[in-house]
Amino acid sequence: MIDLDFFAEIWETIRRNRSRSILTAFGVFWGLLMLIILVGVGTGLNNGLIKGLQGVPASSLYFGTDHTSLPYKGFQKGRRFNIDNDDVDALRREFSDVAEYISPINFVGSNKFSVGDRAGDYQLVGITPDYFHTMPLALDMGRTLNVNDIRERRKVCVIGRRMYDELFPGEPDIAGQLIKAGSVYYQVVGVIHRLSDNINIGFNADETLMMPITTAQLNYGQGNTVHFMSLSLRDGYSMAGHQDRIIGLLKQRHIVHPDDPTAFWSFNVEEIIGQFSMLFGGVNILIWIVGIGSLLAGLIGISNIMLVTVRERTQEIGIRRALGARPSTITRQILSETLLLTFAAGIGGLLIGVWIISAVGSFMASQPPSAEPSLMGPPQIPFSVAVAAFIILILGGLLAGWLPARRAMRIKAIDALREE
Amino acid sequence: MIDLVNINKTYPSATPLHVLKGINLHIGEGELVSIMGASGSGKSTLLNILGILDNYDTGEYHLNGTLIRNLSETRAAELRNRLIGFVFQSFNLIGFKNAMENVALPLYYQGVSRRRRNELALEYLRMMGLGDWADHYPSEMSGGQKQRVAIARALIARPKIILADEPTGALDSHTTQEVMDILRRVNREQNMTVIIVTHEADIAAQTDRRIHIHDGRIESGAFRG
Repeated sequence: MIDLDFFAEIWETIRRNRSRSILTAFGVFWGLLMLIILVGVGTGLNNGLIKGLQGVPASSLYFGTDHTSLPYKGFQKGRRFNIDNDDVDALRREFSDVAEYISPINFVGSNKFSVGDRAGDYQLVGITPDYFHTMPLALDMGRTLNVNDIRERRKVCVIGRRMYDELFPGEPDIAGQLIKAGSVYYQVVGVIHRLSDNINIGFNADETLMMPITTAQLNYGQGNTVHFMSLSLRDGYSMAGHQDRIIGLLKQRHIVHPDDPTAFWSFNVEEIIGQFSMLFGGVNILIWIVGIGSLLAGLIGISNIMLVTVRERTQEIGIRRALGARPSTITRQILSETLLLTFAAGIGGLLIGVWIISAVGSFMASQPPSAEPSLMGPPQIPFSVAVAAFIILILGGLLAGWLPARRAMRIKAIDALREE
Repeated sequence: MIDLVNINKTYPSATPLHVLKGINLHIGEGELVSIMGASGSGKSTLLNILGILDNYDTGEYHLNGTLIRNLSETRAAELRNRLIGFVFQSFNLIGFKNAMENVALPLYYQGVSRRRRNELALEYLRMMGLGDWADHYPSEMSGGQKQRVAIARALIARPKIILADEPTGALDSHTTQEVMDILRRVNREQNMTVIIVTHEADIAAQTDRRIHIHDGRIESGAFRG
């Protein structure tokens, strides 16, 4: 008996109480709108950070030296020192079974580079091929560095996107072209760009010229110095057990007190990701509590108003019962009315929420990339969340209609007709 | 058509109220009878039981050959819809439906298509002389017109009996006579069993049989003749 008449009846009663229906439905509309917007913003924040760490192996440790704060074996505190190529070899030997990438970096500093009459100041770093596996970078053209470049101290380089834009504007292929630094020429083999504007480890790769660490150490008087490095473990290994062993080995090699808190700085990506996840877990729970809470408030409003409606319609329902309406017919009518209200309001909230989210998303996408680096990605609504919100809505609507429907069902014709 | 055998009804409470004390009543097909009694006599309860709006405790009630006893709400609704047409003192039309929709309502619950039931509703409204009033809402009609709409609604499902509860109680003497004429005509022309509950002697006088109920017992008129 679900037919046009049935919907006409429901529509009729909703229409008759138009302002009341709209006001109550607004509660549900607002609840769902809030839920969608909150989830959208939360997802955007999450994505922003996740995108920032994209390309960094999760089990990575970045570390470098600072100064000692404990005297040890005749050395006074406050000593500064550097790790070097020998340390890198020692780490390679010691951790060969678990380490996937070991990436030493020599940070030469700012240098002037020129191509023809174009020139500019950029960072210069010495790296190894592993560097490209441990950073959120993408290759735009050419290749990255290889072991032969390192072994033969080749005068080759990979440059950042910004550098390419400024020194080689619009050139389709610059592999093999030369960049002049002082009196030395370096051959460009590739161009890279950062995947995320938000995260730099050590330097901004977009504005940097990267050459083999061996070449950098030789040409810029760096000896065998390594300024900082990263070590990434193979899949399935956690940094948790290895961090102390790595730093411990280096402390031992440099005669540093095993408990010295400041001699080495380190940055455990796993830990950072863990902290982010916890933060987002918390934010997410909060979002759902607030979102579901406002949705619930709306649903309670609808339930309440339906109870009032049922009371007001007692006589009408009684007449219908006397004329042959089954209890199930009445129940279905009240339930459908509630569902229709909930549904219309919810769909409205869902659509407008998604519309706002996508409008904000495309606005953010149209902004010039990152004058200010921000951790906020464009807000998004995962499809699963939209579906979940929808299911919650339907269940909530049924729940909200249940009490009024039950009350309506209990109305007997005889009670209603007595009310005169 | 209607057979009541030793019907008893008590309203349970701290001091139980024994309202019907062994009612025996027979009403045949095509009869036009009135039930009279003072308020508190049990006539409303009897009417509720006749209309399958209320249950009784002991005894037997057969309506059109069917034993009416301990029915589920759903079954009771079905039987009311098919067997009984109600006419109430306060009309009990639905305010937001026009005359035609009000008349058509019982057919809606039978699942009759909208077109068919509106056609029939118009036909019955014309029979009541209200063909031009189909689009009007109850609030735009006089009491007599409203009662005629209610009678059309009671008749449309072709019930076996019409139960009229003080059908003229809210009407002036002129429209009272109109309504009585219609009920008599329905009784005569369609051979419809009509039961009118009233406390007005001149209404009762227009029926073929008067059943007097007093203090939960039928005093006279329980059987024809």
